[in-house]
Amino acid sequence: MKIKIDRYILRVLKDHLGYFVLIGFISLMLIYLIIFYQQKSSQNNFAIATIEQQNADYQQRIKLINQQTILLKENIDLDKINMIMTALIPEKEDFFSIINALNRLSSLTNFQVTSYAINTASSTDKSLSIIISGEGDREAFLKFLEHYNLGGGRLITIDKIDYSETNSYSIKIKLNFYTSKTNIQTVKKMINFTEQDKKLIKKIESQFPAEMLIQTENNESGDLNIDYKTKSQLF
Amino acid sequence: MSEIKRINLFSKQKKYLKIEQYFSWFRTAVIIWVIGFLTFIGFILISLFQQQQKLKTLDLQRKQYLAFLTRNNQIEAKFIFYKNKNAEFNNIMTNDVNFLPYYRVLNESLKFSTSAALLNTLTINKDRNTDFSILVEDYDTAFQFIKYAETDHFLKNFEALTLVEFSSQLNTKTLLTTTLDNQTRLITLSFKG
Repeated sequence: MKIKIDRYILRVLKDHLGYFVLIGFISLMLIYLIIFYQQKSSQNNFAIATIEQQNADYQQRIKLINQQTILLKENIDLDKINMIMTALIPEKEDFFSIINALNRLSSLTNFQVTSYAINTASSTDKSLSIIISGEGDREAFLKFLEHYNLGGGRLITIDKIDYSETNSYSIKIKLNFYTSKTNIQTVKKMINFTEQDKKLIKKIESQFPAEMLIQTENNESGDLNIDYKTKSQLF
Repeated sequence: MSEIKRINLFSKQKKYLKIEQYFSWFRTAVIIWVIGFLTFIGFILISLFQQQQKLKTLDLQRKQYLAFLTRNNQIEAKFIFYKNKNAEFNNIMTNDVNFLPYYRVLNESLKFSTSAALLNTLTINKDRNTDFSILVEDYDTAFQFIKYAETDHFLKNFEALTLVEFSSQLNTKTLLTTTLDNQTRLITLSFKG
């Protein structure tokens, strides 16, 4: 059966052919543009987010750098504290600095270190364990316990203390001295300089031997003075 | 008489008018479609342009920041060095017994409980495990101290505290001869915390 098409409709469709082509073209273009826009926009947004994150990190680092001026006004000198930290935890073990630290502690506390022995069993590549024998009265021993961490100019820790209330003390204590190689390149994560840092710096500076600080300040090369004072009586 | 065939132009007029109306709407829709399309293109161009501008600004900012950081990398290095040393310092200090604050707290607590109790021995290790013994001269003082040791004021200094030994003997030691009579008892209370 032959389908009869109205001539009028055919003519009207023919007249509007341009519209149909246009709408088809625009639809295809629209689909293409939506896909293009989505891709380009997500690329741009990703790039923007990445750079914004980088800039935020950079701003944080710049803020930290600008903090140095503020710290200097608060009498916190990073160069000085870094030298103190290096003296407390040197990169390489320096046996003379250990003897010097024990000497300083003895002078500071009146708790006389009478002998010492390296405890190789407890020593590692990053810590040296020394067993000392010391003598002194109660006050001297308590003063020694107050100052041993920083008072000698080397960071010292004690694993265990057996304390007995008595008037004079003659005891053996195991002291640990530490070394550590600090690599600046390994840490590039975000750094914050907090009030806790300031408190710690003040605490370290107040307990670190004053004569070593003076030596440090007078030393123009910026290194710690390692010309140790000679001692008239070693122990 | 033969009948003349005529085309009735008006018979389907209503239908054609309807079709004409539909196509008129179609043309209007196409025009709106084109305008919408052009607006969309405009939106895309503006949006992409804005994004590009933002990217340029941020990139410029990044370059400025980087230049500043490069100029001041020595200062930053000082902070990094300090932070590394600080981390090492704090890490090392966790291995320290930190005896004196605990000794002082314990002594202060003893003074607060009873003046007759004396700290005899105190052992602390780096894990903060504590053993201490108290010397008292009579049972009343001993019980007074035990009562005090159960209060929050004393227990706040320990995560856990156990009385591990309670011993009594005649005072023959010289340790407390200045404070105790030779005939009194020496009572030792040993705690673990």
